[in-house]
Amino acid sequence: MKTPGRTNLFQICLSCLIVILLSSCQKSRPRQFEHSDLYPKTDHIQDGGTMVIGIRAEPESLNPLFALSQSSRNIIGLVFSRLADINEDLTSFSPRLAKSWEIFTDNPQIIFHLRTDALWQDRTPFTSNDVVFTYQMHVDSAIAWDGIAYKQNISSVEAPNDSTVVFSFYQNSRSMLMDAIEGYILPAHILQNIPPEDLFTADFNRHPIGTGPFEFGSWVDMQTLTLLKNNNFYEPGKPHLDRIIFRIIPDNFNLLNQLKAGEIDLVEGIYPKDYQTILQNWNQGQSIIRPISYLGRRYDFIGWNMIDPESYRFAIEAGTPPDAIKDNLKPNTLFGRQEIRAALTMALDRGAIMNTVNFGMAVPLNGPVPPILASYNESANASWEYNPQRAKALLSEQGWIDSDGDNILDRNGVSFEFELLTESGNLRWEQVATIVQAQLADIGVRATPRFLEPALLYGKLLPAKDFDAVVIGWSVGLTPDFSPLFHSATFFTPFHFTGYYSPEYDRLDELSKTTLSDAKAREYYNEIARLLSNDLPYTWLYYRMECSAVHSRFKDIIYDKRGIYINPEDWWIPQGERLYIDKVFQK
Amino acid sequence: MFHGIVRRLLSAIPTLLIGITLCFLIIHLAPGNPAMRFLNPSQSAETQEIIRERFSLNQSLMVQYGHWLERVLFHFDFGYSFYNGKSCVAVLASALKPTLLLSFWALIFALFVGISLGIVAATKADTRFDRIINSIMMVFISTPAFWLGLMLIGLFTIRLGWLPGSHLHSLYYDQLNGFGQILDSVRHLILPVLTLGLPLAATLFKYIRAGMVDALQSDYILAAKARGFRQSTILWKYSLKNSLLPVVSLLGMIIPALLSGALIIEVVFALPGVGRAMVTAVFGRDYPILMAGVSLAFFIVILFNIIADIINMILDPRIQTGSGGL
Repeated sequence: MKTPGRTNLFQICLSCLIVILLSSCQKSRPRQFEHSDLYPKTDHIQDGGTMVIGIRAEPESLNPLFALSQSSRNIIGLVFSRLADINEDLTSFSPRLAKSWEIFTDNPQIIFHLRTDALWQDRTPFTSNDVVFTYQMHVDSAIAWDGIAYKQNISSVEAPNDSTVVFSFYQNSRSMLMDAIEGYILPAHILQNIPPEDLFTADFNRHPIGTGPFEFGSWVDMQTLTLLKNNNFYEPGKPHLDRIIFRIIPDNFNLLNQLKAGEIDLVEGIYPKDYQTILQNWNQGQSIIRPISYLGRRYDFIGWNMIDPESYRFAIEAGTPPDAIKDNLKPNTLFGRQEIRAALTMALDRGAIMNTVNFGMAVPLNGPVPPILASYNESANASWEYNPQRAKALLSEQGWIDSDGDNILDRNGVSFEFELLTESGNLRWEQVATIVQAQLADIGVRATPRFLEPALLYGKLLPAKDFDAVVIGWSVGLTPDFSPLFHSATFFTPFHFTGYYSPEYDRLDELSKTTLSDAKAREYYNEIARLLSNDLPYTWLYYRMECSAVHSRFKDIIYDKRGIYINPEDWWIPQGERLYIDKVFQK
Repeated sequence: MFHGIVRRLLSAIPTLLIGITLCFLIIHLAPGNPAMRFLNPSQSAETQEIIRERFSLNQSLMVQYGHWLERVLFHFDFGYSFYNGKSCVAVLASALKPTLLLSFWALIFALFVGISLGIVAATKADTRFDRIINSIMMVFISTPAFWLGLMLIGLFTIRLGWLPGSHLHSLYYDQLNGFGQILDSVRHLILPVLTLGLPLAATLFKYIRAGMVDALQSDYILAAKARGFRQSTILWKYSLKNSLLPVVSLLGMIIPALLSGALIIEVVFALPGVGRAMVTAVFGRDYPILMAGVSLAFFIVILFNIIADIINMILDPRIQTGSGGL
């Protein structure tokens, strides 16, 4: 979803649905490491050592109920545990605090059998009461937890005994398991006496107690946050590292220099240009910093305002009833017609844009379904190859011609010019906007880039729909759900900012969510991709690769589309490769 | 003089109130909504309303202002950060220490370098030495602080590896003995103090040099020379004292400038000061922290202006006796 300020990326949880098998309980699968320098084949994993991770912004909270930024969530993932974690295939799950589970579809229920050997970091036993309490917090309106959508299909959570929890659902769904396990489990014995409305300012948010592999150590404001090995972690013999220190360094130049100097061991979100340098040095054997890249969770696009902002404002001010409001809106003069959006898309050399701003660290994206998901099917997307001549012809067919010889298309005295908004300070988006300006100028369209600071940009965009076109990006969830962006039911919610409306989309969206068959769901997602990539409420630009780097002494780090914090309890450092920082704390 | 000081102090109260009121209005009326950062596509309208209610954003501006002022005046409570739920007083109290440390040493450095070089340059006015020093100081005046900071990091941290380029302490600070800890802190402070202090030293240098050159050419110095006073007496007792007057006034402006300079430098050097807290608050539209920071800044500006006025009055009795005095 969007987290204005800071690194400035939206954190969209394209929330729940799909994927989860209605099979019965999953078995834990041993992690397989391939033999390489990163995954050395050894029976002698050695405990000890320190990892220093550079982060750009201070975590706002270490309470899973209030954490929004990625850095907070990463740290929380080390301190807390879920009932189960999603696997790389994004369809199956591995047990964590739950040992196993059974899914019943007739009277939709999931029964979780919990671990009896898990302790909170204050040595209090973990019980089913904690799971019930966590669910109560998740749905408490005073908390306003940002993942509450996952819990909408859950009718009740009950604990028949200390090691069993029963989740009951309103209706059978493919996402029942995902809905149930979403959210880290909280310690009831610590939080249940604090009124929910006071939790936002509770001391627990800065001194958390969880069940994860690492426990909270210390937090020096705007400097460092230290986690220590949890010696009572429920997986015996883990974690291997003694401590993980998060060093907060807001300046990118400084962050990279400390990485190069070996003062920091891990950095995520490296700019592609810097990543290429790290990669080159690594390939030439000149560096101990190992580059790591993978298809991440973010894509960038141009969003077109399909409705006339004036008519939208008038309708809102006049208090037009929601049912009637769509009939009272005028289409946008410039972007209201699909043919125009198609022409503008064809006028853009999206491959060149992708390569220029990402230095090769991105893949093409032509539709709404992210390539990391099982439901992705490139052939389902409509193809809009770069073709400025065809773009110009399409615009001409719509009446847009240069009648006055000023090199700008016009129609009925209106010139084809608009503001292309984006977030100031986001170099990638600023570059995209500038290139788009140049490429559209070639077909006689004047786009004027305007860089706005985040709070102002999203204020104009999301609630007000007061814009022409915008270059931004979303983060995606691990399950597809596009309804907040395109379904008519969300027409007046902030993220539906393009004003797209299609009964056909609504139908497909609902079918994709309600079907119990994965194969059927995949078909519906193909149809959705076909429809949206043809209607083009967005011009999808590219899907980004995440660029990270880690000191080469760390072994057994698994990374994939889920991120880099998948198995921190398995990370270790061979004795012979340890540095001063690995030993100094043992003195 | 006493009445002058009291009058000056009393006049500061409405200035402070008007200033922070204006800031409250500007901050709250600026486009952008702090609740936006909590937005989630799957959030209901009710949830959004709860978040607005949590931060009292659902109330009218005047009601918000009234509550804020009442809490501040009667309970010294600036509220809680929208960002992390921490008390604003606690956030600023923890951030103030590094900022004061950095500003204090930068000021000491600037005063020492600016005044001493200014005196030397004035006594050697129009020589090659004077011209070289002048040119160097002009470079420091015209160099943006963040650029100077990056250059210093590039040279002393990356190229030479002599000094750390970020944070107040090393990661293993707690493992060091007492002397080691002092040494560690000093090493971490050198580059930020230079970054903040050099432009300030250059500004002071210009004032001191100009004042000294004027003084050294004035009639009373000529008279002192004619009466056979020693050169050092003329320099330190007569010339410097008069040259310091504009500098004292300048200090009233320099202190706030130091704080605003620290704002950028704290980000570049990852120091946990007020500047960095304010930058985070600005981008996150964290109104309570912004208002607490702005109030603090207003207080400091007014306080140091009053102190500068008082010192001026002591140094130059004409100010208190003149009609335009305090």
